[in-house]
This record gives sequence, structure tokens and C-alpha cells, in this order.
Amino acid sequence: MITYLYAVGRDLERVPDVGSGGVGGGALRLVGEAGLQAVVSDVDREAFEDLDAHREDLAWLASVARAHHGVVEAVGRAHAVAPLALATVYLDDDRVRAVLRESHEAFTAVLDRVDGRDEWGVKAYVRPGAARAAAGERPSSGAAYLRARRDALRAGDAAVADAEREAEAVDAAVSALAVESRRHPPQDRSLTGRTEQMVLNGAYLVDRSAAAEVRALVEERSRTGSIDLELTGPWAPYSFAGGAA
Amino acid sequence: MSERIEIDKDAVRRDLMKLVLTIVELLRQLMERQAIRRVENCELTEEQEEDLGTALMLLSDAMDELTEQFGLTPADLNLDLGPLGPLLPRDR
Amino acid sequence: MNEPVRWTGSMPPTQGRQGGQGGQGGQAARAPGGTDLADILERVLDKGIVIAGDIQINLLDIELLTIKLRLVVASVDKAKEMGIDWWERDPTLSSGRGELEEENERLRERVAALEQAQVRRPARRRTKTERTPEPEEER
Repeated sequence: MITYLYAVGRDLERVPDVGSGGVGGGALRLVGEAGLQAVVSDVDREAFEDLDAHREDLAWLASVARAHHGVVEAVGRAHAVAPLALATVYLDDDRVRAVLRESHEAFTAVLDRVDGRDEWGVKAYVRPGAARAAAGERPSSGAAYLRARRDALRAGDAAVADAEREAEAVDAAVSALAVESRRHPPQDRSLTGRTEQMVLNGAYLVDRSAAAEVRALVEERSRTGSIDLELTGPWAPYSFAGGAA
Repeated sequence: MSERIEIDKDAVRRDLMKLVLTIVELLRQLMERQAIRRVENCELTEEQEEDLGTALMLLSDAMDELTEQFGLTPADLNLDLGPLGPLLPRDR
Repeated sequence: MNEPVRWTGSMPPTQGRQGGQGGQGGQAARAPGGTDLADILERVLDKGIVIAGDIQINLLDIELLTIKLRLVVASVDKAKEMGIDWWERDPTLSSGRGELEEENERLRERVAALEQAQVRRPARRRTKTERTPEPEEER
């Protein structure tokens, strides 16, 4: 058995309440050191030793990711939380204690930064049909057909460019309400399940008091603008837990 | 044993047509783009442009008819190549 | 914090997530079990992700041609390390690597030492210095 580390907090008094336990159903424990508490569970060493075998196994990744996420969320419900990356494992609890001790400052800095704040995600998509202007009647000649096709292709490119420009403006506006912001690469269509292209995949660290404002802004832009927006959250501050800001 | 020999002929036709039409559609789109590029570069006479355009238009119509006939949609003729993206542009 | 809120367009925000949508048959795998797995993976891995499934061209449900594509856990800023280092990397905070790096180097040495102690197991864990490029054949 080795020790899987989910998240670090301070003033955690008890193990977060997660019905299904941790990764692989393992019982959650707290490992405390230097005023910090790490939420951990035992995992099977074999499973994590040969991670290579699981790298392309979406079912395995999904179950570990969901368990990881469940624990991090549960901690974040009541406390400032510094989430760790998936599959962070140590040989034993002593190693975890050593890390808490030695990286005390980095953890504290992250916890200070995210305290009272949540991460929100904003995604923007090209609006369906934006590219398809006036398919209209049948071209009267071969030359007219080619011209119409050329215009349609250009219109498609232009629609994406317009959407990207608008998404930049949305990103800037949301960032202005946020403490920090970060851009994730746009997700592939096979992930989003949408046929429209994603043009923005932003993450924003927002004071809880400003969350309503962010929501209102996104709603407003979605109504008045010409791109589709999607707001997700609140998330634990995954995107803002980097050691170095 | 007999089950395996029992073949649904319609399904064979449909699957095979899907594969064939995918390839044809890819070629059609490539040709169309090439034609547009040639026109923009003024490499074609007016007559050539008209002929090419007409041919591509008819081909496009034929594709629409065929896909419909086999109960397919334009999206069925696309293959998702994962990190390489789709074989055909999503909205043609 | 409950399940993240997700809403689209001008619909009012609602608690809970959207139901999973069916993927297109035979195409790249859509993450099973809920819409936001992609979001979760993206965050817990701290990498952009690209998920590619197996492409199958079927004739009568007989698999004729299968193009195997990998599930790539990709970092956009480090494309050359695509999919190879997310799990080998240092246990560090969710984004960015920091001072724990050195820490982990030591951990890895210990792991390697332990593995060597187990006679039956050849030490196959790659380290930073001896990392070899990912096999290219499937790209």
C-alpha cells in the first residue's frame, strides 16, 4: 500500500464526508504536520506503479479522476483547499509529513490565495448556423456555383474569426471581475460533444461575493452577443493551485 | 453456422456505400477547393470555370441524392481522426 | 459546493449537471458517465486533453479496419511531451511544478532502489535523464 494525496488544507478537523471513500474505495485519513493537513488514503501500490498501463484506459482514468475530484470538492465545501494533481502518491505517511513540512510556505501561499474564492469556467462556442448564411436558391450557372461555394467557405472562416474576437472580449470582461484568470486550450469536439467549435476555455478565480456578478455578466453576454457561452462552477481552485503564481 | 451465412444484403449495401461515399465526398471537396483556388488565381478560362462549376454542382447534387437514398446524413460521411481532427470539415 | 452548476446560453442556471449525451457511433470515445468528466480531467491533470478513440469501419458489424488512436493527455505548451509525463511528473500542486520537484527526484531514487531490491522486477521506470521519446508509430 502507498499513500495517495488528494488535497492539502489547514484547520481541517475531520476527514471529509465522502460516501464512496477515496480512490479504489479506500478510507480517507488526515495526515497533519506543521499546521497543515493532507487528505490521503491508501491505494494499491501495484495499480500506481504501472501507470503506463492505465494511461489510455479512459474507464480507469475516469474512476480515479472522479474519486479524486469527489474528495477535493468535499474538502473545498467548508475549507480553503489546495488540490493536488491526479495520481500524486508517496511511499508512506512519513513522506507526506515531510512534504508538508518542507513545502509549508508554498502550500500556505496557495491556501491564502484561494481562500474565500472559487474557480469558474467559461467556455465559448461559435454559434450554430453563424457560418451558414444564405444557402438560398440554386446557383444559375457553374460559375455562380463556384462563387457561392467560395463565399460560403470564406463566411465560415470569418464566422470563426468573429467568434474568437468576441470571446477575447468576454474573457477580458470576466477577468476584470476575477482575482486571477487562466486559459485552458479549447477542447476538442469529441470531448464537448458539440459540433460547434470552441473558441474560449477560460478559468477564473473569483471571490465568492463576486460570483453572482460573473454569472450575470456571462448571461448578459450570451443574450446580447453572437457566441454561445457556457458557465461551469463553482470548482475547487484546480487551475490556480500552482506553486508559483 | 447457418446464422453466419445469413447476410442482410441491405446492411452490406449500406455500409459499403457509406465507405465509398466517404471517399468520394473527400475527393469532391478537394476538387471543389482546388477549383476555387484556380478561379481565384485566374488560371481558368471562363468556359472552363463554367464547365467545372457545373460538373461540381451536379456531383454535389448526386452526392446529396445518394446519401439520402441510403439513409445517410452528411455527418455520417465524416470520420473522426481524433487528434488529427475530422476527415472532412464539419460544416461543408 | 455541490455539483458544479452548468448552464448554457440564456437558460437559467440550475443545480446539477446535464445528462450525458450519446456519442456518435464508432467515433472518438466520448467520456462515459456524465458531461463534465472532460472538465474534471482537464483540471485534475492540469493539462489540455485530447481524447481519441478507436476508429472502426464496420461492414455488417464486422470490424474491417481499425485505426487505433491513443488517448492523449496532452500539454499544449509542451507538445513534445504529449502524453508521456503527466504521471511521471513530480507530485506537486495541481498546476505548475515547484520546489517539490527535487523532492520527488529523491523519492524516485528510493522507488528505484526498492524495485531493484525486488529481484524479479527489472527497474523500468523512466527518469528524467533517461526518458526516451514516446514511440511515434501511432501518431
